[in-house]
Amino acid sequence: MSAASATNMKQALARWCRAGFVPQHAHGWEWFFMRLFLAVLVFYSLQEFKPYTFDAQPVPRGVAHFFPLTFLHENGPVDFSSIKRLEIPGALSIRLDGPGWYDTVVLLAAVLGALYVWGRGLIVTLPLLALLHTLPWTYSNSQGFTHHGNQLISMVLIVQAIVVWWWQIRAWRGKAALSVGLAGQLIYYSQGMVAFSYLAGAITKLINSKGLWLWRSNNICIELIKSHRLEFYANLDPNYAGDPPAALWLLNHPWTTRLLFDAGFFVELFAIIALRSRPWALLTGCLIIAFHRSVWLLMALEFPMHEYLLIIFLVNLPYWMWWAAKGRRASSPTAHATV
Amino acid sequence: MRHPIFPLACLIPLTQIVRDEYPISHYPMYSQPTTRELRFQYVAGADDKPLPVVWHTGITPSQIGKKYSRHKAILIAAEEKRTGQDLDDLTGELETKIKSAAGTETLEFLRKLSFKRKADRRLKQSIKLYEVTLGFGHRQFTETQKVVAALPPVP
Repeated sequence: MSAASATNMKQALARWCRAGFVPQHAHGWEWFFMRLFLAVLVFYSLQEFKPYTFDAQPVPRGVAHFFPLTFLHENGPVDFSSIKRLEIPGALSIRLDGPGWYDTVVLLAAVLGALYVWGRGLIVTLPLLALLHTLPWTYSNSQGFTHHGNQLISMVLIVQAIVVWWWQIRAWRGKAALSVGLAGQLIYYSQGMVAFSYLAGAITKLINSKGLWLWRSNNICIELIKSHRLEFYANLDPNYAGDPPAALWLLNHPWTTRLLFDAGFFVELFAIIALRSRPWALLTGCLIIAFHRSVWLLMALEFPMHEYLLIIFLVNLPYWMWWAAKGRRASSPTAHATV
Repeated sequence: MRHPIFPLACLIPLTQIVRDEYPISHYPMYSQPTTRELRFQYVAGADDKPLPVVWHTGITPSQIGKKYSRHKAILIAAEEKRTGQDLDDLTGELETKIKSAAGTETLEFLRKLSFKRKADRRLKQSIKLYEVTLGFGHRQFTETQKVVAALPPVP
């Protein structure tokens, strides 16, 4: 490649980057659907009473270093033992009663979630909702084993709380309004939080393997056996008895295995392309979901909360449905959100 | 004025410094693929048949493994401090002793959790912690397992 063509390519890439990677105007209804779906996801992820069964925090994590979260195990102020469950047959089943503070957290999640969807007072609602989601899962991760399935929800809520406070502080200081409103900023930083978490995973792979991850990735085939066994020993599900056939095939085809796993690595590494524009967010979201689904097929390992966040913030179906219906002929959206 | 992506880019060094402190994580899963052996643990009853540990305790074998490794690491660190020796590769009697102590602590934790669940889920019977070792053989995988700890039945 000549020096001139390299320079041209560099300039084209710079132009391509400059044309995106910034917050975009959003529709009010688009931001509303995102709030609605995220509130449901937060509530759903708190429908788990395991964190409240632990009576100690032997390996404190996060805020548990600064104050004990063992109170979550004790009886909370709300008690739904007389109701147990809220059920609409065939449609809805919400567990209301559980150990410790479970009942209280469920009630608070419902109230704060509703306020969040309403969209007023986010400056108060968002930090509280973020704290509510963070506490039980911090306590769960303080037991000596780490689960990475829920923290991205907590992080998205925390990032949103930071954005509304940053927006409010700017207003208090009398700074000029930005060209893109609060809704666009919140969507951008939520998308960014999701995308950058994948980039963080890719960088950790490079650091921990001393740069050899791409070459050594074929060795992950043994993890297929391990994850299959772990799945079997969890509930003795006969579907996971024996060896996954793919594992032996991958062992004996190291170059194909490298190609497969390295493709996943590059999906993680370039996840931040999602911030370029809406079509790139859609494409990246779909690619990462395909990556998660392939990991599920091979290793029976899934991160459903991550996938839901990808659907909400990157795939953003309501927008594309509107676009397919009439958006191509409509003018640029503007959303009004308040803190 | 800084580009709007700048605060997000700060997350990368932050995750690498903080590592795993909920809700921050550097997502270390599968970050060190090697040809070294892999180990994991599961729980069995007195008859050596595996028990559906999630049903009994709500804890997955993956989480049991992390708990067990954590206890083991604490015991190894204490032993290193006591002897002044580097114990990167545990062998012999010391390996058995440390694994047994870490395994016993893990089983006690699991039994305690099971007693917070419905009566039929309680792990009253004798329980054992098995360690499985997976490795690479010639065009196939190797697998061995042994008991590292056991608890007697309780009333």
